[in-house]
Amino acid sequence: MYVAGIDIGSIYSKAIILKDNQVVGSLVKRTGGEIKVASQKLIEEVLMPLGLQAADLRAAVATGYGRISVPFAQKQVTEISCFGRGIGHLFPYVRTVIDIGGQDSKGIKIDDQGSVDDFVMNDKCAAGTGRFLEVMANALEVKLEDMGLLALLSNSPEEIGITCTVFAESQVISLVAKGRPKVDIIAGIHQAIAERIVSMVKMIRIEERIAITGGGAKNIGLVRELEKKLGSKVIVPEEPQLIGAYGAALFAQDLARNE
Amino acid sequence: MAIKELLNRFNAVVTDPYSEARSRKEQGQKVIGWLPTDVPEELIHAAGAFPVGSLGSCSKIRLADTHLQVWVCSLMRGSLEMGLRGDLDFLDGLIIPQTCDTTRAMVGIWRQTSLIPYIDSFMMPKQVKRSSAREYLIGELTRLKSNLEKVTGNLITNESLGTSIKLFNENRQLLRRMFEIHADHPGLISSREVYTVIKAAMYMDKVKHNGILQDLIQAMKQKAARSIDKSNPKVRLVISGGVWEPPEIMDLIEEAGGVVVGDDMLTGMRYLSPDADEKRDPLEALADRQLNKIPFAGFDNQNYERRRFLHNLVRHTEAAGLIFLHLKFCEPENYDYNDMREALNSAGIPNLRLETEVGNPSLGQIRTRLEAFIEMIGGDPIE
Repeated sequence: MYVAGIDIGSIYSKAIILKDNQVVGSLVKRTGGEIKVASQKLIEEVLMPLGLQAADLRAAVATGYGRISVPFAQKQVTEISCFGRGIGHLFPYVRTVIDIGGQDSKGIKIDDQGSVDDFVMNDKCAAGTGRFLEVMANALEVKLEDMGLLALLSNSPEEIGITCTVFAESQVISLVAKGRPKVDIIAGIHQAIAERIVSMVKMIRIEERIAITGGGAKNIGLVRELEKKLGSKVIVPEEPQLIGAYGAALFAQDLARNE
Repeated sequence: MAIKELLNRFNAVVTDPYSEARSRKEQGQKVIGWLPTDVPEELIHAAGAFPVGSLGSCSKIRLADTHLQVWVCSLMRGSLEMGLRGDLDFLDGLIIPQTCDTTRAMVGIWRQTSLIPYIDSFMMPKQVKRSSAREYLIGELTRLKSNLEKVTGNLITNESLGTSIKLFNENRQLLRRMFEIHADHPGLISSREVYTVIKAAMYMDKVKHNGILQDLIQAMKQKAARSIDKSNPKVRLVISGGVWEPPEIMDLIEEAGGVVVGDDMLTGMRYLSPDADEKRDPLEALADRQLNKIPFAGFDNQNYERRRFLHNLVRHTEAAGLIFLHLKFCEPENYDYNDMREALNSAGIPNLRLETEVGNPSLGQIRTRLEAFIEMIGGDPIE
């Protein structure tokens, strides 16, 4: 019995295929363009090596901001429930999930089943999200994937205010103009993002242990900075970007069994 | 008449809120507007004028930004925009209540920018439980009364005010009756429809509103008696805050699987309760009505009355959770939020805060939060 979990994020789309509880396929792809078309391509591509088509799936659940535009999914579940479910399944002792996505970041409190007890999400603002890092990487002419490692090289991070992405960007540009070392600016950016995220997640009373998910978890500089601010070692799953799709696939499995 | 047709009549009013007020004006009646919340419409009515609310539901803000800082809420910004655009020029007067710093300062801006000849501020006592509050409020109502008499040229007698109070009490009673039927039989009409009927009362002639409302209540009762299926899978929710704007938020709640069965909104229960005592001196009765209203962030909450109120409301309505609808930049609500959240958390009541803006229907993130909240309190997301 094959089931699929599809997570259509603002920047990346993710897919997981489960066969009898085991992950047999996964894919991360830029969302780009029309979501209906993108999700079709995504499922075709992830199923191709298995010699399957969307029609062969017993169930599919869609999540993420594009979840309503996935034509082959029988059910939509929010990313908040999916991240909870995914982490709860992999790490039943985790109580707080911090998800750092492209367009938003969230804090999710879960129980040992991965059921959501409470959550908080950033407001319509890019500060404290993957998008913020992307804007800063562009302003500094550094590759996004190098940002985290570069942050670790600094001994005296710059102070960066992060009330607003636009203001922070002009602050960064003026620091560059003053000739400040890039690594110090980058480290300052990571501190600022981590501060923003932790103060938001504190609203739901952080409980250990803590897992970090989403594209932001792939940034080692950000993870280390979060650990400092949280005063706790965090858990980063092997594929942090795929946890939402994994949770969705687990829900799809429930759906198939309920039928 | 079928429920749908009756609801259409209220909906038409909310879509074109000032047509009744304008036609009154053409017939020679004075029209006095009010901004939220708590302006005693009975006084306006008893002076022979037509009271009409202005709820600032205006999406494109162009003119108001010249006069306001960024941290002014969209409710007051939207109202001023309508004023500056000339949408409210037909008014003979506008009463602006002082409920927060913004409403206090708005009066001056309106006076300097508006063509409306009479603009008054209604200053309610902030600390409603103080022993001096009642005497002060009676004085303030007396001042408002004599200003309204000057503007309209009509004397407000105890008799005329008594008659107005009776009419407005009847309206409140009928609205509460409708709400009870809805809460007992969610799904007869939608949450948005219920609140649209309440909002329409702020724009309509009360005699007309009462008439259609009586028919609606009859129709709802009949439909409730016919429907055998008592089980409603919707998740019962209480909403708390200022205004339920943008209106699409009600649709989102229902689409996510919820139904609103209680509230403390200015455009909800705070408008409907309590009645003014018809046996008392009418000004005293209006003062007591004001002081006995359900708690609201704009007025004093020293005894944490609102915490208890919200807790009880959730229990009484058998709601599974509470959603705060907080206007962005609404200081009173935002300062109180932590207290309210702590109280609900310690009572084990799931709650969610959504930040809203009048006239801003970009609701993608709000949809995700609402759905996640209902998945969280409704149990298994797959069922």
